[in-house]
Amino acid sequence: MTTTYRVVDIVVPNRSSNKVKVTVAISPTDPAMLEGIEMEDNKLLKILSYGLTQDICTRVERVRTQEKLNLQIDEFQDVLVRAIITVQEPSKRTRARAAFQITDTRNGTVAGGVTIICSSPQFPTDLPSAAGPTNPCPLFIAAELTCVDPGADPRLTVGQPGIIDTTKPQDLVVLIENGGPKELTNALVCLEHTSDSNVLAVPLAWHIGTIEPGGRFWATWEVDARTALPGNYEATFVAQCDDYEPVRLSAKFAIRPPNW
Amino acid sequence: MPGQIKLDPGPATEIWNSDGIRLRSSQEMNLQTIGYHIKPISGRSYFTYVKVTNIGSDPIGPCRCNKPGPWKSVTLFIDTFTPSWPVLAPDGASRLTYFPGLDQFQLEQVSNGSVIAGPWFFHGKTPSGTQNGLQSFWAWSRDGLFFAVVVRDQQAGGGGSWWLDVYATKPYIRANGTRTVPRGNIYNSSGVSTASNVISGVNLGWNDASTSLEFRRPPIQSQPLTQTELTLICPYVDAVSNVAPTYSWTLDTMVRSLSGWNFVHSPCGGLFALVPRPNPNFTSAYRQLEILDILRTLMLISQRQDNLLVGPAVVNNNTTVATVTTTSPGRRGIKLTNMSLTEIDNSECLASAPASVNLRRVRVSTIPNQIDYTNMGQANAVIWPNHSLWIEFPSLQWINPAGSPGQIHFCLQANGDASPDDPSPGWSSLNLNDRHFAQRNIIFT
Repeated sequence: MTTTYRVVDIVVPNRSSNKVKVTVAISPTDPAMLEGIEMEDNKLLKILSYGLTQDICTRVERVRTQEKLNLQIDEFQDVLVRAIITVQEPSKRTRARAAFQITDTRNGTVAGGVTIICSSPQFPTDLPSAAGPTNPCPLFIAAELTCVDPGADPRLTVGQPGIIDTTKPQDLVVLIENGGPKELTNALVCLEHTSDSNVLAVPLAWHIGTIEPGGRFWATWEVDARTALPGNYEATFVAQCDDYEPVRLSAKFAIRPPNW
Repeated sequence: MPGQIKLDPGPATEIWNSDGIRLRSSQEMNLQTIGYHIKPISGRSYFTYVKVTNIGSDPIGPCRCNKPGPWKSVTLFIDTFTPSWPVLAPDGASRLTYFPGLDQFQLEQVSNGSVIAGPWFFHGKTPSGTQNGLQSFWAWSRDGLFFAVVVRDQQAGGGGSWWLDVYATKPYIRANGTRTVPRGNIYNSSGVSTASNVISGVNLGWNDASTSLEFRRPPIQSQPLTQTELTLICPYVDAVSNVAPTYSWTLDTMVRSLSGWNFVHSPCGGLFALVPRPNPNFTSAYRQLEILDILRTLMLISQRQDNLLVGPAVVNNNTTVATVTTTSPGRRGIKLTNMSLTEIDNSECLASAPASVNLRRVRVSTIPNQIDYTNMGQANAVIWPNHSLWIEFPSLQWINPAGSPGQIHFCLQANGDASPDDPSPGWSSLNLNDRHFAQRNIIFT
């Protein structure tokens, strides 16, 4: 059986103007109790030893570790603490995990901590998404995004559809339509985010209220793309209404380089 | 109870490890349940999702008021009455006390008897019913918060001078939620009048929602008989001083070929409509409906239907304006009769500020780090009471922090804000025991 060392360096900070005494401790915990962490068909990883040290120079297999470190940290200083966990690797095709809590105790109370999950093989970097809503709100985006001058009629598009001008603030226009067979009540739409475009948007929720099948609403949001980065993006919107599950709607837009 | 935001804390023994923050390699389309947290790899892009719950009994991001009902005219003041002293305000918090020997009265706070304003001369009607000399009349707003008093000095043969003063009977907060106006005078005006009784009850009225005092100035010399000077005194509108802002119109039925106007206020008290009554004998009569925001901006509102600009016009007299009784009346939330359009959007209830969550990546440390972090943006959502949504942050590249080779991860911190009802204390007051914050501090190795 192979032995491996799991090494994690953690900052223990003191942001105050006084010296502080800190106890940093490591203890094992049941990985199955960690919420939101996929643990199906996993066994418990065999741990040979675990501990903490301030020695980050010596080779890990030679370092002496302790389960608890008592530190005195000067004002506005950080101390680096290394957690070393010695693991006996499971046989091939066996998935195993272990978990540890590192706690930071100051003045007798736990001030913070870090959770460490040791996994063999490597913890998944990709896991399936949840199933989509079974009864989605039938509101949808019925046209390409457009822009108008601030406060103008949403039909008076300036510039090309799908492109946000970077020279001045504008209103982003999103045509929302009820694509279902029934009248919707308490319908509302909210701009969730504008991706990583750096387009600034004033947060706003539209209380559309009652909307008949085929009914439309031209939702607008004040946006400022003067500091935006050129590229292609997707803005997301959340639509909700009575008797249906909320849905996330996406719409593409582009930021063009200056003088494009 | 207003909407209250709550981000998921970690378990009691590991409050730093909230399951309400998850990193995902692909986009989630379900807002009520999402996939497991994953281990990030440096150089790849990941979405982040934060679970936001509303533990209040109202939505987070509601429209501010959705009270339905017909828009109404103001309740006019009464200037011919013999009060029973002391006169109590509608809310019972203030009163008028009369001093018979002086024939004066003053406005007092009931709880401690302190004087809010006055004294004023009362000088009621003479036994014969004639009105001469100084006289006062008044009215509280329906909620008792505001008090307006008018003093008139009638000259023999008619006409004379008048004074109008408006008071806040206790401190109140403007509609923007930021300015507290202290108890005391918030408006005054005075003038001369050619009207036989100088100024009377029909010149003034509070709206039902107590958000506006409608004031029709009495006529002055050489003023055309067809002209009305209308002033709306609006104590809740944004302003840099404690004086109640005003909006004035000069309305002339002859200029606009009208038989008059209807002045009506919305049930929530945020909107005022000026509805012309066209003279049927004039095809060129002015017919345009005008709506004024009397709660925040004191500006005329461009009317919209489905958020598209429209211009409803009066077709026949006997018009009505009403806020409809539907769920969340925003789009087409105002019904019109005898106008060119039957429905327009209700700007009082169409748009609102949603909940906002800010997210950042923080270099791993045992306690929340205030210095070494990267902002990952803001996401917004409306949350119904007792509901939760997983809101999405954009897909951003994950770059493991430089430095010690073992320091391989960032932790994620979220800060939720549901202003104005439930504002966040802000990053500078980060506290994982506070429901506005959450942290996912977990390392995979």
